[in-house]
Amino acid sequence: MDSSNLRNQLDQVKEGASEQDEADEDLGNETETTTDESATDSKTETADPSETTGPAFAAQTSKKLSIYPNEETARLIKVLCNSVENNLIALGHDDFEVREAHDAMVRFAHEHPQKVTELVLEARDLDPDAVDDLP
Amino acid sequence: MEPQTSQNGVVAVCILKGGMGKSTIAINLAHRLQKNHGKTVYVDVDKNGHGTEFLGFGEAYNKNGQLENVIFRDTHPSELLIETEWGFSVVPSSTEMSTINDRMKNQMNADVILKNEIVDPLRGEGYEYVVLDTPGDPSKVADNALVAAQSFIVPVIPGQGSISGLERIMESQLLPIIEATDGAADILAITPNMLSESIRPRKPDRRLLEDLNENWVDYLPQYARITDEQWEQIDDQGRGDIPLPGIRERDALSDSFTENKPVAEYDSSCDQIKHFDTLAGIVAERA
Ligand SMILES: Nc1ncnc2c1ncn2[C@@H]1O[C@H](COP(=O)(O)OP(=O)(O)OP(=O)(O)O)[C@@H](O)[C@H]1O
Ligand SMILES: [Mg+2]
Repeated sequence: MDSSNLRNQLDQVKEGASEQDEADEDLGNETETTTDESATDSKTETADPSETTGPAFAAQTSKKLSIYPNEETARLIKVLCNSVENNLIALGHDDFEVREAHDAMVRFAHEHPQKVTELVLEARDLDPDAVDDLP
Repeated sequence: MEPQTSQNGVVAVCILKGGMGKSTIAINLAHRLQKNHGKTVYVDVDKNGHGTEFLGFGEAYNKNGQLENVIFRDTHPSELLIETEWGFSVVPSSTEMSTINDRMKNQMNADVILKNEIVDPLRGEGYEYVVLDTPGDPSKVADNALVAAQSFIVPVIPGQGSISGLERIMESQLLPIIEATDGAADILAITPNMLSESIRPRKPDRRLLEDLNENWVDYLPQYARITDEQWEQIDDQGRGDIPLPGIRERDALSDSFTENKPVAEYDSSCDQIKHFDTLAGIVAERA
């Protein structure tokens, strides 16, 4: 592909993506949708830092928990927090706090018990698609 | 039209996102380039130094002074080279990388420093191939790596917003370089990574593969291509003799790094090595 084709292709793909994403509902794609929007929005609207509201809840109202992920998985928490932070910055909010991502992670997982079951199965090397057979 | 490439043997493995397999692919690509095609050096320019640590050079990563002298003084980059028992050489990352990044911003020609101070001199030392392992977030060092390379391999994994990471790096970094060079710079491959064995409809793997095959098929290595007819066959009659696409998730690919080796030196029977050979072939032909 030459460079002008590449740009056209990219524009087309991004247009298509925002329409299609609304219909989608599982884990991977929800993440994609959010980041997707950040990528487009940051270009079209110049973010106004004064709009930034700050974290949704104060540090004092957060609860310190121990969780016990596998060592390798634990590393992903940081990776995820970085992505979320970058997305927020792209949207003009430069005051991200890690607790906000922790809070969202728990709420997200809570909304997707089936997906969590799948991942647990997968980690045991069992067939994750078995959840499709749940009553 | 086949674009004219700059053909300097330099390739950057890049995407603006962490944990996509940049380091895994860069290291194993370097190993296969050395094995199949010619003298190769792996250069880790990610400040996190994961690739350097994967290969067991944590000590070099923590050693100070050297990299700064190469970049801002007259020290030759061969001073940084580590010879390995696997054939290819390594330029380790360094804890100084963040400071270097800040200093770069104040320099003239701030985007060609890596090219002038590291990549070109190493090419002059007889390295035919230079593989750059780049950081997952935007920085001056990352810009430098992409400008030095002009050839890009972009890894994406199922889910986790990797498609948007792909679009982001294309738009903000790769396209500007490709346009500025009138197509001499180019994306050599977009490669899926960490695929599971499941390509059932609506699962993240399936969505990634469908998306890539629909939108970016020209950039997909053969091992990741699935045609519409093949999808139909897979859904109607089962996969049959259609090979599962790569690069798949394999314990050998992560375990090899706990023993500080490229995968082919750790487990030569790993069935994904052939995909690194394919990527090496693409680089040898087009980078
Ligand atoms: N195909 C694969 N099979 C199994 N494990 C993999 C595969 N690809 C990558 N990994 C593992 O996933 C993790 C992330 O990969 P890697 O470090 O190569 O990504 P990266 O994009 O360089 O990340 P970072 O942004 O942290 O530098 C590593 O632990 C690596 O061993
Ligand atoms: Mg890395």
